[in-house]
Amino acid sequence: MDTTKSPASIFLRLTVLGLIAVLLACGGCGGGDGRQTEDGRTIVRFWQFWTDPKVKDVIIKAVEEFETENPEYKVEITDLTWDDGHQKIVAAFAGNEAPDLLELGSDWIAEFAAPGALTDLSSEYARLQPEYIGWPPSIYRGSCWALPWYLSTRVLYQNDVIAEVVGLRPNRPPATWGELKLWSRFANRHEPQFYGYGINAAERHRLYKAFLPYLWSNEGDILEPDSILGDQCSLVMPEAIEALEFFVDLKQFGIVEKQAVLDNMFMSGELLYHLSGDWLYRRIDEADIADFRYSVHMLPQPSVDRGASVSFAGGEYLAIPRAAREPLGAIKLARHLLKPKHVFNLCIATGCATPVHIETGNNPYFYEHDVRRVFMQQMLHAQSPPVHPDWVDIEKELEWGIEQALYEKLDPPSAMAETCDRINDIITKK
Amino acid sequence: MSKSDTRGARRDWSGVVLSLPWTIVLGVFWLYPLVYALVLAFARRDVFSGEWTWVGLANFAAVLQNSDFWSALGHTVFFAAGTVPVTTAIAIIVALALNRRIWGRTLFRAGFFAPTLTATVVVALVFLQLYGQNGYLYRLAQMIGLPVPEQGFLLSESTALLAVMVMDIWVSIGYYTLLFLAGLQTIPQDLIDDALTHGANAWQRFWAITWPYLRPMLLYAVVINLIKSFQIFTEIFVMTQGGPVGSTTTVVYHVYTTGFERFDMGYASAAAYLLFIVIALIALVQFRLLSFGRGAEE
Repeated sequence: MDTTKSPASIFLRLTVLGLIAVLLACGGCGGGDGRQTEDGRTIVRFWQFWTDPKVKDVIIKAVEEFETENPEYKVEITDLTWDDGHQKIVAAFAGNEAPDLLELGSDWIAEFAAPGALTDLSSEYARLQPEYIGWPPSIYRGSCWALPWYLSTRVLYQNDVIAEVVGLRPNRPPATWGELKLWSRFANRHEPQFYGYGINAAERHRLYKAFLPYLWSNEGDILEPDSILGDQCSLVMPEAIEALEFFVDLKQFGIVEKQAVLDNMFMSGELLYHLSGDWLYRRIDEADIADFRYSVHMLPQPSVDRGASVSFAGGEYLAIPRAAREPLGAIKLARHLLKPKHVFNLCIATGCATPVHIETGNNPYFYEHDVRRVFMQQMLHAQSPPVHPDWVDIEKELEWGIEQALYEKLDPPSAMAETCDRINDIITKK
Repeated sequence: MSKSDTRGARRDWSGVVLSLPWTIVLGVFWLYPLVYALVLAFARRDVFSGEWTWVGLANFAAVLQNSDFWSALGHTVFFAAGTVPVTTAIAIIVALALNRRIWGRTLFRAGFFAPTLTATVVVALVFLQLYGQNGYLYRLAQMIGLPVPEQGFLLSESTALLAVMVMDIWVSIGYYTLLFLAGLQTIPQDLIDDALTHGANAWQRFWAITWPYLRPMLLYAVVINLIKSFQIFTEIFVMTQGGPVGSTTTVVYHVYTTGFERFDMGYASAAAYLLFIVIALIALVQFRLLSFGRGAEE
């Protein structure tokens, strides 16, 4: 019997053995359910969007404290980004790989609650509701699906140096739309020239937030309930068209740019008025720019005797997917993150001026600070987009309509009429 | 069974086993998604419940009736029609220049090729800054008196797609230059010497010698560049997200938004397959046109 083996034969056998070994190893990798660490602690998977090192550090410290207080748990944090976080979350739900605790944007809650992807947190709501604010976006069809974690709104930033240069009184901000337009014109016609107002350009998920305050301040709305048809688009109403006409009109005295560029332009002293959030005042504080003075103010209202000052309210919420493997650990972690001291620390790190915990808001840190105090006042007059499962699609069509008017493809009435047709199509199809 | 037959059978199996890793990768990561997308194109799938509903050709009908798809296809064709000929022409000119013995030839070759080695996302982010109102390119255009859009190149409907095209041409030139340089290196020096002896001028030498030798490479370069242009996505995703007013929405970006933002995977798959058909048809026509007369020359 010939026992000698050719090199090819040896190589073949080795390859087969190698493949088997790899397959076995892979089987071993995938075989565990990943619910426990080697030392027997239960893993709680937490997906969140805070990637700024300063903020992430606060989250990590809060989580470490949770692990110390609850030694049976180990929290695994996964960072998401706003650019593709929504896609990853949907893909995770679709692939039955949802985390245990999940940070959601305020306008996504209904989208995930409607198909039954979230756990009903109504019992938590009953317990926490007296002490916390920001609940409306988390209530869908009478149940609560997420817990408010971080809230923010937008206010009118004014460059006080430019205001003085163009002959305005910095302590007398525009109170009406007419004043905002006129004073933006002052800045725009002044020599040297400044931009009067910063208008958000075609930038997904941001443009509508810049327009909605004008719509709501003018007593308009996006949807209105219809007893026969259900929700119907109401952007064809005169209030909405007037708001869009005003918004587009501001363009002639300002500049159309992306939010980040507008923030930079405001900081570099090129922009008189700018609608922005709490992140900007934190950046300004950190930058410590020489000879730069600014103030923040409530949004102007349509006129002295009409409308109101209504801003956009958004926020971050903590939700527990229905498919969470460790719902108990997740709810414990959510409660921990909502403890007043962690809410306060998150606010300090993010620049948030409107904590979700009512008692925390009574801290002098908030109301004794000129900027934060205005944010708190504006939050009392802020509104969230409709809690609708198709909001992501509706938002896209709304931005389409605003863009059409902003880029003069359609006049504001036609833009709103066509937007309404598109929105009604979405609502009807579903 | 004889001993040699057994060895033959072993040899057959060894071929299968040795190609198995690649076959598995091909099957799992290439063929499976391709077939899965084709099946999806005829169905509607609820992303949360995982429920499938067969809809026949409804997704294809929806794509063909959607004005957004036609608009995206128009932008894609415009992009390809603008970038492919310009990139090819510039790459040929640069390759001819770099094929001569000039000072710093290696440095120039490396310089032209460098953008190709840079990640598209990085290049797109750099151009995002250059094209903005405070960007160097915008300021330079202003300085030399060129008409510039008020909102910056990427925020103006009339210049956004053109700006992306210019960037794409800049990035691509190096790669195609390299291909054409490789083509030029295959030309026998004897032929050129003969032509010179017979008094052929540069233009005659290009058409009689260089062009026929470059032709196979040209066919390859144009087809590859065309396919790449029809699949333009990263630049759009990073720089414009399809805006302003949808003026830079290309077919692949349209597929992405419907598939991964609205999660209408059936529609997205149908649109992707329609794009595949368009690319295949255009590539076929190109093969016919560019290989026309090759037989006679050979």
